[in-house]
Amino acid sequence: MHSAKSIFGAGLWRNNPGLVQLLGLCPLLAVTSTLVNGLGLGLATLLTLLVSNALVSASRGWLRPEIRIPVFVLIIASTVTAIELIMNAWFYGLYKVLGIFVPLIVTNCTIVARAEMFASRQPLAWAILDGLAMGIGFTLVLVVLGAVRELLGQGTLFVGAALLFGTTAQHWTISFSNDYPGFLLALLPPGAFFAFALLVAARNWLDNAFTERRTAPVADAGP
Amino acid sequence: MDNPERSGRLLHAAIVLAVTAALTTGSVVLVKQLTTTRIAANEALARQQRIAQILAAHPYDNVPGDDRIAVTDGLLGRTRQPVHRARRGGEPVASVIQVTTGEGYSGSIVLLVGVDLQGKVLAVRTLRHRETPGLGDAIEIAKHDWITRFEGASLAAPGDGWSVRRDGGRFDQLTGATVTSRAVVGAVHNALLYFDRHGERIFRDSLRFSPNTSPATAPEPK
Repeated sequence: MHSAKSIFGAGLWRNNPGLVQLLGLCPLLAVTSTLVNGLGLGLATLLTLLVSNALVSASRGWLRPEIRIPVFVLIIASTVTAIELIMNAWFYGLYKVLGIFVPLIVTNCTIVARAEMFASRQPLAWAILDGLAMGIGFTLVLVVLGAVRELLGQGTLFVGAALLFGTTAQHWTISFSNDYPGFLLALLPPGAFFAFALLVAARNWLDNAFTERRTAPVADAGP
Repeated sequence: MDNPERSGRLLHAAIVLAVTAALTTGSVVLVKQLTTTRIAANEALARQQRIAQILAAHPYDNVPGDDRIAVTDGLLGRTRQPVHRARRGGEPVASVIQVTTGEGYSGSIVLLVGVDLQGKVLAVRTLRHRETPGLGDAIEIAKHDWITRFEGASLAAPGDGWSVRRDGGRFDQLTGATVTSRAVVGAVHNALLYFDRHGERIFRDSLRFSPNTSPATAPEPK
């Protein structure tokens, strides 16, 4: 039924949690003011999805339908809490930037949606693969959105990379102009909605273009 | 009808739920245990680093991060704020006053204000804030040098000029972050007012080991 290819195809493109399922928008729109912030939250979400999908799938044998949602909630909430504590202890710089948003991962419907729709019905390996694919798909959306907003808003890329990658990343910041006036709207929440809408539109346009190309020869095959 | 079977199912479900709750809660407690000291150490370290920056030009030989009193005063914030004391050979050198303001653009801004014995600002650093990235976060020394403009200021100089230029004061506001700038100028001014009124009490030795200090003192890593 499943293959690694179909699972990744769904996570990254066909059924992307951000652009197609439109799930988890609250943290997605709040955090993506810079590329690095987006990447940080994306990785935290990815890790949560992996762990929660694996735990849900591993416990599906003795799960009862009546209590599955409370069990998912317990698993997800404790996973997120543990990740938050670990971030606070070992990635303090990043925690100071993302700390307030990490608890929001609990409210990210992507995670409970994957638990319910996929992990609780699939063997461990597929569930982990699905967590990986959906997590990467979500992270890519966060990174692209963060990059677009950072570029428009302050004319830079990779600001704060040192928080995520250590002091060696201090010189990664790319500044495209020394006297860029800045575009405040891109950094504020409304800018997040605009940029996200454009991203969804771009994905749909590309998707249509692909589908047309694939079906075009069939149409041409007529007389 | 099948009451025994139904209650059996329910019991099974209840046991599964209880076991899950115990396991998940237990693992959170375990992670909490493993991270507590490190988290406290991180926060203490961030505070110590900022204090060291503030006191860079003023030699001291104690640990101001630990030599602190906790004060409750409306000028410094709604809750109890620590005041750190730098000494050399037991003699006072300077104090670092924490001031928390809710006047910022989003959430409270926590500042550390270094004040010498004459009531002159040594330096100011942000400890915590949630101002807009790209605008208000320029109050961080890592992003902009705006915060250094307070160095050398005192209640007497600029006197009436303790506000941003837009309000007729002597301090430039940050572009696009007037509210943030106003809040920081006001908070630093309040720290100086506090020092002016209560400064002589800060170094009173009776306060050194006062029980009041313990809640604010973070555990030190070994």
